Amino acid sequence: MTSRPPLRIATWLLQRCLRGRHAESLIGDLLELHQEGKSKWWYWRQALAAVSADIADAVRDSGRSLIVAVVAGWCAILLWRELNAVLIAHIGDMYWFLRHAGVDRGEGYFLVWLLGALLRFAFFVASGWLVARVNARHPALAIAVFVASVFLITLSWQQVRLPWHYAVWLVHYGMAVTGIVAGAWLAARRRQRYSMITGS
Amino acid sequence: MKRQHLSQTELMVMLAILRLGREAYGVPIAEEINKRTGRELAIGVVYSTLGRLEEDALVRSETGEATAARGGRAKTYFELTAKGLKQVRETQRSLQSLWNGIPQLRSDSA
Repeated sequence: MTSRPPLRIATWLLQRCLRGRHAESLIGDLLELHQEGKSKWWYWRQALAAVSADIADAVRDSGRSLIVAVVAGWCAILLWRELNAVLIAHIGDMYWFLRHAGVDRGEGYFLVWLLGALLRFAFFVASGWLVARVNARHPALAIAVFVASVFLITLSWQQVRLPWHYAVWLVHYGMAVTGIVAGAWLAARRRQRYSMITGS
Repeated sequence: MKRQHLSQTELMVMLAILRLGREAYGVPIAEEINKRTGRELAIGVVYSTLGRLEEDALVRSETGEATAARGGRAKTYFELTAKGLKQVRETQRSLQSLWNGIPQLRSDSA
C-alpha cells in the first residue's frame, strides 16, 4: 500500500481544537482510514464533525454556568456604560479642572480621551476575567460565546451611516476583544498559580 | 450522580464494544454500528460518546499500539466496566418490558 500524504490543515485543526483525552487516538483513527483509501473530503467532514461534537460536549458540560458567565461579563460592560455616561455628563467639569491645573486645551482633550479609553479597556479586561472565572471548566468556549455576543450587541448599538463609522466601530471592537482575551489570560494564570500551590 | 438512562447512541456504542470484545477501538466501533444498524456515526461522535461513558465509569480505556499508518498515534481500546454492563442489562430489561405485549410487534402477526 502506498502511503498518502497526511492532511496537514485538517489534522492541525483537530490538534488545536479537540480537548478530550482521546484526541490523539481519534486523529490516529482518521489517519488510518485515510491511509486505507477514504477521500480527503471524508477526512475533512470527519474533522469538522469531531470538532462540532467536542463543542457540543463543552456546551452540555457547561450547562447553566455558560449563561451565568456571559451574563457576568455583560454586567461589567453595562457598569462601564453607566460610568461612561456619568463621565460624559461631567466632561465640562473635567476640562475646567484641567485648564485650572495648567493643562492646555489640546493636552486636556487627549487626557480625557485617554482616561475614557483606559477605563473602557479595564472594564473589558474585567469582563473577560469574570467570564473565564465563572465558567472555569470551559473558559475558551465561554470567551468565544461572550465575544460573539459583544460583536452582535455592540454592532446593533451603532448608528452606522458611513463606511468610517464601521472602521471606528471595528477599532473599538478590536480593543474590546483584546481586553476580554487579556482578562481571560489573567484568569488562566491565576488558576495555574492556584493549582501549583494546592497541587490540584 | 447516578445516570438515569442511556441515550440511543450510547447504548449502540456500548453494544458494539460488547460485540467486538478485545478489538473495540474507534474505527471498528463505528463500522460495527454502521454494519448492524445502517447508521453512519462520525468517528468524532463515537469518541465524544465514549468520553461521556468513561466519565460516568461505564467504560474504561487502555492504550494500545501505535502504527505508522496512524501517524505514530496509539490506538485506545475500550471495554465495559461492571457498572456499564449492569446499565446495559437494565436498559435491555426496561426496553423489553415496553416491547412485550404489543400485538403489532408480535412475530406471528407479521
